Amino acid sequence: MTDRLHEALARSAGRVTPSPAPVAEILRSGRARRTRRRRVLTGVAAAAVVAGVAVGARAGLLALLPDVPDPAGPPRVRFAAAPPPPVEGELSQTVGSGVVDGATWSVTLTYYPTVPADYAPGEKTPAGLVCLRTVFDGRADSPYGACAGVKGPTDQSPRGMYGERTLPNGARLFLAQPAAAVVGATMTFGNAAPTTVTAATVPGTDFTAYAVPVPAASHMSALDEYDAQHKAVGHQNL
Amino acid sequence: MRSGQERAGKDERAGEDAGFSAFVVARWGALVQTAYLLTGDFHEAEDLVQTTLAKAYPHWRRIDPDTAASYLRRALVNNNRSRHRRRRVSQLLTPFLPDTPAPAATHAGEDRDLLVAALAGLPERQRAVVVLRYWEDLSLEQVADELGCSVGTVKSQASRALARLRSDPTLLDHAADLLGATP
Repeated sequence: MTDRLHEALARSAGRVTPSPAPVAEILRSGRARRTRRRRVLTGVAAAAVVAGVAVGARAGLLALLPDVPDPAGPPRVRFAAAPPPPVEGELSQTVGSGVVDGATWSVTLTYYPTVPADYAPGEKTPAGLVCLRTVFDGRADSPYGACAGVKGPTDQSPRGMYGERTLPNGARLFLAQPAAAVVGATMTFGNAAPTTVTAATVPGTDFTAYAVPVPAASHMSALDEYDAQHKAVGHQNL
Repeated sequence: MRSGQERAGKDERAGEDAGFSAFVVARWGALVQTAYLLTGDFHEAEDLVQTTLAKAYPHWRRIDPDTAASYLRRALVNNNRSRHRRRRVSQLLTPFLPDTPAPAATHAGEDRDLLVAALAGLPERQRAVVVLRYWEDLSLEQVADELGCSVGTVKSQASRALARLRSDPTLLDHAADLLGATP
């Protein structure tokens, strides 16, 4: 039986023809990882050395660390889109913003009561859109971001949608449009302190979202969501 | 003095890169085949191997050449497990990332697609056991070592995996040929 299964697996595996080994790309990505790893270690050491020194002095010391190239790795979103023209009646709310791995980010949740004329031209679209738009270092991932079709400002269909955006510097943003009761979330990491964020709602709508910045070196472990009474309403191992 | 040290460092790095590159070229095909059985998707397999090799590169000088293949195989399985976890989350929770690939087409009579499809239906741990035990021909002890579990766990996972493959509807009449009769 073992031999027959081995032969069958060998036939299956043998029928795929691997592309030529992308040695240069692997080396480039590997070097970037090594540089990033050294930078993290150097940063930890520097932080330990300057513990007790004023925050400003520490920031100055860390600012002297050399820049590193963007690490290659999983496909990343291109951040080069121009902002879309304003749409009549659109409502927006900033979901979160800050600095992750040295780069600025922000996420905006926008409700478009009518589908913008330049959105997915030629496709059948619903009445409106709700979009999560990510901006990295001043540049957007796409004109409108990640959008879901909605019937109106109280449409519940976008709830329960979660996703990740990998930023050009290797950091990620964990984005969520959570269930109705959720007002905040705590993400725990295997190698870093937990991060707690608050959900934001677009005024006049039921559209709510939150964003958790995840540094490139952090490993997501779990996500807990809370209601207004700070009762846990959801747990997900990541 | 300093330039001499720098030159020596560069030479050392160049030597490491040459050794690493030679390893990549020699092992790429085999790793992609193993990754294909683990992932069930050729493109994901190549991505998985590429990522795994890039992750291994910073540690290359500390990896014993005699055990490098085993190290990479273990890293491949672990990275696939991480990928599987991330994917499970995104599939469960991410309707706004709609680019879920369509399932690979299967062709009657091609046990490649049938077997790979059946493998893809196994839980990740069982799939890893089948691939390591029956494709890589590792012993029970080696599989246990690579997966970080007991030999008993490997045995039970292998038994369950084979039972599931035997009853997998996609294999139909092929199951007896591939897996033998139920013990």
